[in-house]
Amino acid sequence: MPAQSGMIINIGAVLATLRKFFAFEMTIAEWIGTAILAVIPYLVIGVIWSLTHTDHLDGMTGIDRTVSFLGSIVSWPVLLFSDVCMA
Amino acid sequence: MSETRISATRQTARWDPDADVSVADAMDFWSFAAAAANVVMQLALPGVGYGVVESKVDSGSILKHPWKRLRTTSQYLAVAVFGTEADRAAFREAVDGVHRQVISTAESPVKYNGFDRELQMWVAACLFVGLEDTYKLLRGEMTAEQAEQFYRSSWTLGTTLQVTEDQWPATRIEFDTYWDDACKRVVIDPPVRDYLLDLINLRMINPVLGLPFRPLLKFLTVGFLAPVFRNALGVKWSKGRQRRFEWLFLLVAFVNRFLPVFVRQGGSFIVLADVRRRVRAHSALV
Repeated sequence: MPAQSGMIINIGAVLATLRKFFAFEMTIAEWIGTAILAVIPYLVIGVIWSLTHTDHLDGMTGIDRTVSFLGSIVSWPVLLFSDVCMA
Repeated sequence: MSETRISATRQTARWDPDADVSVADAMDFWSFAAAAANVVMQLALPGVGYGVVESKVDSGSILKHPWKRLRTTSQYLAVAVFGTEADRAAFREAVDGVHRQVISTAESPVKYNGFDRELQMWVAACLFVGLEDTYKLLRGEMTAEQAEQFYRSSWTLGTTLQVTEDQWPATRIEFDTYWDDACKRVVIDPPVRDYLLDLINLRMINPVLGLPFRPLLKFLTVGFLAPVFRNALGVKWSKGRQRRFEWLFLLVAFVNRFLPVFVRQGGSFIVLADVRRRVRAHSALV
């Protein structure tokens, strides 16, 4: 069937891969470990982002300032796109 | 037994006492901590020792091409444990090509031959012992049935080359007899000892890279050697070091439980994928 040029996706193979992916088993310990492994780079980026974006902290003092800073470490992906009012 | 196998008084408890086990579970990357010790064990049999030390196949020498040797050896293990029959056949053909050149000369102190099935059985037995030791340190003691299952699953460590299934002692208990008996032939002559000490002292890699790891590698290597090999090599071990070794692996075992399999064994699957790529591209495997 030469009419079907370009990329031909073998749907059977894709489904087989998907089934294998969804049937993959991990222990709860492994899930916890995976979460820790994922959260480390996330927080490192968050700290770097927060340290370089400190404008919104200017008017704040004390606990507000701390919470706002910690909040920006955690929520850096959202803050990339929009300013969220954190006062 | 206590002379020919390492033992630990502190060992992690099993988290899954009734689980099915397989040698594949022993392939977590931490197991490579025992790699140098395994080389010592393999070369402690004079036929293997002189065969390697006198080998003219420079491209496969761990002292001359350490990174290549690391790749090919890890690929052998990955193929033997995770590979298909086709992977094993391709790797066998490649290894046969170099083993053919490994044959003693009139000047060799002992007679050897890369295709000697007895020598290959010894090497396979060393690999099994190394993986069983690391498995127990990482996952805990096995029941008799689990030990049998684990043992039976590791036969491809030898049958990937010229070792036949009936060469493996039929049961795990019989393997102990074979091992104790074979260990009586352990001798490390000066040329082999020099070779092994160069390896443990990481003389084959850039000192900037090697020096910081030297004390750790030495500690791990001697820790993974049973007394018979320590004595043959002439290295010392102590109660204090044994205690640190056991605590270290209790910690490693704990951390390891939290690592998903693609972190623990991902390396083996990457080098296995490289084997398959090389087979498709008809490029050299070893």
